[in-house]
This record gives sequence, structure tokens and C-alpha cells, in this order.
Amino acid sequence: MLELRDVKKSYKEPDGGTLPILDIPHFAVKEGEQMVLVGRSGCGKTTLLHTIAGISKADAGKILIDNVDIAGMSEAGVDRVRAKKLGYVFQTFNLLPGFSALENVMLGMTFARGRKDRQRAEQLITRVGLAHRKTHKPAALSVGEQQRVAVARALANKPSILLADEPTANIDPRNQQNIIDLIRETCREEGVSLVLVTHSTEVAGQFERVDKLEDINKIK
Amino acid sequence: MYFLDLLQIAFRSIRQRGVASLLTMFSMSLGVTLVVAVLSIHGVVDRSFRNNASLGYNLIIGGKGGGEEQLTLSTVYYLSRPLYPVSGNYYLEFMSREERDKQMVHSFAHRSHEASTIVNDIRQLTSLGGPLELLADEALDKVEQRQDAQRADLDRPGMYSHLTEFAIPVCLGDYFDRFRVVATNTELFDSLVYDIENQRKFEFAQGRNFHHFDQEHTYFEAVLGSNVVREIKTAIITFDCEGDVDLAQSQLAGTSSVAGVKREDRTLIVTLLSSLEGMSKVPESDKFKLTQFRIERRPITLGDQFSPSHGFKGGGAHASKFTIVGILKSSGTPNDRAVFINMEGFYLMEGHSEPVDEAKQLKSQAEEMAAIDKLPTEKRHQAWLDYVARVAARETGPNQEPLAVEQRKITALLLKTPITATMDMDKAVNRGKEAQAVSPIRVIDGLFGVFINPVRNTLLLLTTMICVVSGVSILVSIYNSMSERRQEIAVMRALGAGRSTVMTIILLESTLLSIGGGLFGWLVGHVGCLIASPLIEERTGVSVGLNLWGDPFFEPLKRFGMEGGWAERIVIPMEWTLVPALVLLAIVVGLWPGVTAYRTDVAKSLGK
Repeated sequence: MLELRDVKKSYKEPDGGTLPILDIPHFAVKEGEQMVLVGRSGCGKTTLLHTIAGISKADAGKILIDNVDIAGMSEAGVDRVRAKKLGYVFQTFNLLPGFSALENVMLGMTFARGRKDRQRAEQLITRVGLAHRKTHKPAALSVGEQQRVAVARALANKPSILLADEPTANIDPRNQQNIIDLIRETCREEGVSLVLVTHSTEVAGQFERVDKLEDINKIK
Repeated sequence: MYFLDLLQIAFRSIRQRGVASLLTMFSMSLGVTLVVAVLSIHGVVDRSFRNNASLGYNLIIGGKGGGEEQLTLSTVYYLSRPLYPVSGNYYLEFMSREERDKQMVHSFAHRSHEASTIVNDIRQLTSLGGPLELLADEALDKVEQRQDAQRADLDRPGMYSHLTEFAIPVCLGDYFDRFRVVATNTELFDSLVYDIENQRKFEFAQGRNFHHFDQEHTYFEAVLGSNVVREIKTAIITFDCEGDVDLAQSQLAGTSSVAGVKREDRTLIVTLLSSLEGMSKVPESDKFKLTQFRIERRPITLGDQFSPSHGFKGGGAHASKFTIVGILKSSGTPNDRAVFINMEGFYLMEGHSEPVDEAKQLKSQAEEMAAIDKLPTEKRHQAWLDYVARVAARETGPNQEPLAVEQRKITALLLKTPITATMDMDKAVNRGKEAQAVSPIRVIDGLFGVFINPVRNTLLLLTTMICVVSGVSILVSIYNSMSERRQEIAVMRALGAGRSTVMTIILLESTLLSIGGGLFGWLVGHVGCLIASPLIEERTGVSVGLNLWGDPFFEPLKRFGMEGGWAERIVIPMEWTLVPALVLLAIVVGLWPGVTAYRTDVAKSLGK
């Protein structure tokens, strides 16, 4: 599960001043829960996901992932937690071009420093419907297929939480629903909590819990 | 496993930038190729020079007309011009009493006893008086004076014999085609150990060593080095002609290496031993017309004959023909490109020194002259003309009698002394007026120290600089790719890779480029040396070959000031140092892009 307590994050401005972005007294996602985070552009949705993932360090507060506070950890410790406990699906997929679909899935396993479970990677690639294209490089896949690979990669290490940052923004409308369905189904099957950022009201409308960032963030 | 995974990621990244990576590796391979070539050639040259400088002997004795470097280079490597020779008598000073007396069989001194009776015979024959007696008296006085002078020098050991294990004479000056002819005795191949470490003597691929005297070939036998056999072919020229057949034959055979001529009806079979240059041009003349002309080539082989040319490459040919009785196995020494002939045959060739057994010769002449004198007047004139022609023919024709010791000259002596006596021998010989003693190892060490090592070091410095420049090209290549790879790095970080992990991947990438290029360069360097080996061998007499894990070696622990024990035992090829050197270079040049990767701001580079 995920819990944020009094998390604050600001950026330094070129003139030396600080620009506060996040000030979240409390935010929590239960185990296996699927929720959507919405908000206007520039309100700090991506910054919040980066902060949860430890990609950006919070200025203050606690970020508990499975009751372990990563905000107080060393950077190397955060890297390990990110590798093992978190999955990340990007809007631009971010697959590594030199690796095949299957290898991209296994890349996540590499950085978790555990055993590279090829069988699980194959299962995941089959689950996202790309068994026949597992040896293809990203350039040979359609955008929908690339995002499917990204989903499989995010789930490779059996994370507790999957963070998805506008995963359908670059996908044609016909495939958008398929991706959302895939993310939700796989998260359900794996028992993974889901925090999904979207601008789409259609997507948001499918979730029981929809949080508006402006509501949980003191910075307006 | 984790390391292998990172290695695989680095490799994929290199493959992803295929052309750029290949060019970078190629630039590194060029540098390493040059380093390997310099090390390899220098190592082999060094080893070969040192091996040859101790071909089982520790001193070279030669004339005083030149420097010790010239004496060593000309005697051991057949590279420089030979020095002025020492006398045959001087050579005998290195022999025991028994050996010396044996050699003296062909000396004037030895013949003196026989000559004394012959002199009496001649005096009786020429006692008729007149100019003939005066002529005989004058000639015989000369013989007797020389015999008297030599007589006192018999029955004693050579003055350096107590310090000598063996002394092998070498006479230089002639060529067969472009190869040096080395006249020596049978000991060079029968006794001499050329590879001291493995106690190896020169071996024969075909045939045998030349004999001191052979019933069939007398003193005219030869042994060829392996390169000579490889490079020289035999041509059998068959032709038919109208007109002056003799002229056609002489023009076809107009080379310094005519080996044999067979005449069958009007067809001539001419066997030539030469590089055949120029033979593609068919001779033309008003006096003959070739109606048939054919050249068949085959490798030179046992039984073929050749005539050495005198003095310099392409010089006039001697008339004497040597028969090839042996072909040496390759030994990787300058002897591979030399032709060895019996020293006795060498002395008997015209122009070297005419054999003089004056007493016998004069007796024979006196007998003939006495007989002519008794002829009727009308036949006497023609008889004198015939006599003069016979004498001329005898002087220019081959002589089967060994040359007198006193008339011999020796270019150099390969001398083996007991180790403890080397200094004494060196001093004793150099004190004398006739010869100098040279330690070939010392000379070669000197040459290496003064000329070859500084050249090698300069070349190594230059090639190392090339490697460093290649290293910089790796830096440029990786650094240029960093801007486009920033997102990749950020993705890896987002997937859980630590800063040190992405930095390690960059360093591995740089190392792979460096080692990959280096490995390719190493192969190209050695294969290049192998390909260039014949050319190097031709120019220097040193066979480089495929020296994959060979010279030069060095003792790494000694470089750190350690002595004895392990410092002596751990000896590695210098090439092995290329591996840590390339890794170090890769780490140094990979550090900058590596730190850039380390510092990558994930949040900024990741985008959405």
C-alpha cells in the first residue's frame, strides 16, 4: 500500500527563489486499489508520481510504500525500492530501442538484481497479447503494442504499486480503451495497486475512486 | 550475473550505434595494430639477433680492417661487407698440434720433404745447361726459400689452442644470385649448436652436409638455406635453332648461374639456376634463328649445379660448378638465406687464390720442356706452341688439389672458448697485429642499446599516442551519444538502476570499444606481421612469422623493484600489458560521459 504524509515538494527558480508544487497532508492508496488522479495541466500530477517513485526527492514528509518510508532513505535505497516495489508506465512508453520486446520486459528484472525470470517475462508478454512479437524491437511495433510492452515491463518485478502517467495520451482512440482495460486487468490479477494519471474524463469515469489533485494538494 | 547483464546492456548500446561504434573501434584497432607490430617485430628481431649472436660460439675472430660491428654483422647476419681476411696460418694458431699438423698436409712446409727429392730430379733434367737451367734455378730457389721458412713452423700447437674449444672458418665474398655464399668446413652443420637453449643443430630437410672430399663431386659440394630453395627456381630451356648454335646457346645461357648444358642433336637443354629475371626475353641475332623455344620451371633441387658469382651481387661468374647435396630446414636464422659451400672448393675457384704446388708443377714443366728440346727442329716450333696452350689450360682449368695453407685467407673464425677463457682470448687476439676478437653478444647488445632500443621506444611512444588519440575518439563518440541517450539513462534509472549502475554501463561500453578495437588491432597486427614476414626476412634475415604470444617478454615484479624468487619467475609477454592498458585508457576516457550519466537528472530527462 501507499501512503503520503505531509509531503512537500518545491522547485528552485532561476532567480534563486522557490516554487512550491506539492503540499499534501495525506494521500493513501490501499493494497489492490485502483484510482485515478486528475487535475489541470501543470498542477503537479507528474511531479507527484515522480516523488512517489523517488525519482524526485520530497522536501519534507513521509512516503510509505508497504509501510517503508522512502523519503528518509539513501538514494541507493530508494533505487532498490523503486526497482522492486514500483512499476512505472510512461506516456511516451520509453522502451529501450536496442532491446527486443521480451528483453525490455526483462530489463526491469535486471535492475532489481534478483533472478531474471524469463518464464515470467514470457507469461507477461503473452498476457499483453504480444507473444508473436516478443523478439521484435520497439521500432517494429505499433504505439499500442509498445505501450503493452511497457505495461508488461512495469509489472515484471511484481510491484506493489503501478504508477501510470497518462498511458493513453499518445494512443489512438480505438486502442485507448484496450490499454486501460489491460492495465486494470493485469493489476487486478497481480494484486497491484494502481495510481493512474489522466486527462480523459472517459477513462476517469470508469474508476470508482477519482481524486482531483487540487483537492488533496494545498498548493493551488 | 548482474555484471554480465550490464555488459549485455553496454554491448546492445554499442550495437545500436553500429557505424559510429565500428569507426571508433577501427581507430583504436589501428593504434593497437601499430603497437603490436612494433613490439612483435622488435621482439623477434631482438630474439633472433641474440640467438644468432650466440650460435654456439662466443667470439668472432676477423681482420682488423674494420669495426667490430661490421665484423659481427657480416659474419653472423651476412649483412655488411666482410672485413679484410686473416691468413690461413693465423687460423692454425687456434688448433691443437694434431689438428694443425693435419691441416699442414697441404702446406708448403709439409711438401718440403717431397720437394727436396723433386728438386734434385729437376736439376738432373735441366742439367743440359743454357737458359732452361737458369729458369729452373730461379724458380726452385723461390720454392726452397719458402719451404725453409715454413719448415721451422711445424710440429707445434697453435698459440691459442689451449683456449680454444673449436674454431670454424668462414670465407665470404661470393654470391649465388642475391644470396651470400658462405665457404666453411663441415663442422658448421656437424657440430655447431645454433639453438643453445634447446641444444638444436642445423637440420637437413633434404640431402646431407657437404663432404670434405667426395669421390663424385670432389670439393665442389654445396648446401642451401631454406629461403634460397624457396626463392630460386630452375629453368629448363629447350630450343632448336638454325645458324650458329653455339652463339644461341651462349646467349640463352648468358647468365651468371648456368648450371648445366646438354646437347642432343640440334636441341639444347640448358639448365639455369637463377631468379630467371630477363629470361622471358628470347635472344635474337643475325647469326642464328630460334625455331623452337620453351622454358620449364621447377624448384631448385638436390643434384642441381650452380656457379657462384664473384665479389658482389651480379658479379662475374666463376667457372667452377658446385653440386647441391643438401637443403637445410628453416631455422629462423640468417643461415636460411645463405648458400654454404666447401671451403676447399672455394679456394680452388679461380680468382680466389691459385693453388701452387710449384715443385711438382715445375718438374712436370721441365720434363715437357726437356722432351721438346730433344725433338727435331721442324717439329719443335709446333711443340712449343702446344706446350704453351697446355700450360694456359692448366692454369685456368679446375684444380683438384687443395690450396696450400700459406695461401689461404679466412674472412672470420667462429670461435668457442671455455667461458673462463673468453676474456683472455679476447685480450690476446686484440693485442696482436693481425686480427681482432669480437664478442657478438656484446656487440649486438651495444647495437640494441645505441640504435634499436631508442628507435623502438620512439615508435612505441608514437603508437601509444595514436592509441590515446583513439581513446579520445571513444570519448567523443560516447559523449556525443549522451544527449540522445539521456532519456534512455533516465528510463533505466526509473526502472531502478542506480547512478553507479548507469555509470558502470557507460564505462563498460567504453571498455568494450577499447578492448574490441584492441583485439581486432592485435589480430591485424600479427597477421600483418605474418604477411610482411617474407619482406622483413628478405631485408633483414629475420623471420617474424606468427608471433602470437611471443616476444618481447618482461618481468613485471622487477619493474616494482622486487628481486629474486617470484620476481624472476613471473615473466609475461609485453603484449599482455596491452589489456590493462586498454582497460585503463577506456576507464579514463569513459569517465567523463560516465559522470554525465551519473549526474543525469531523471525527472528532467524522463519527460512524460
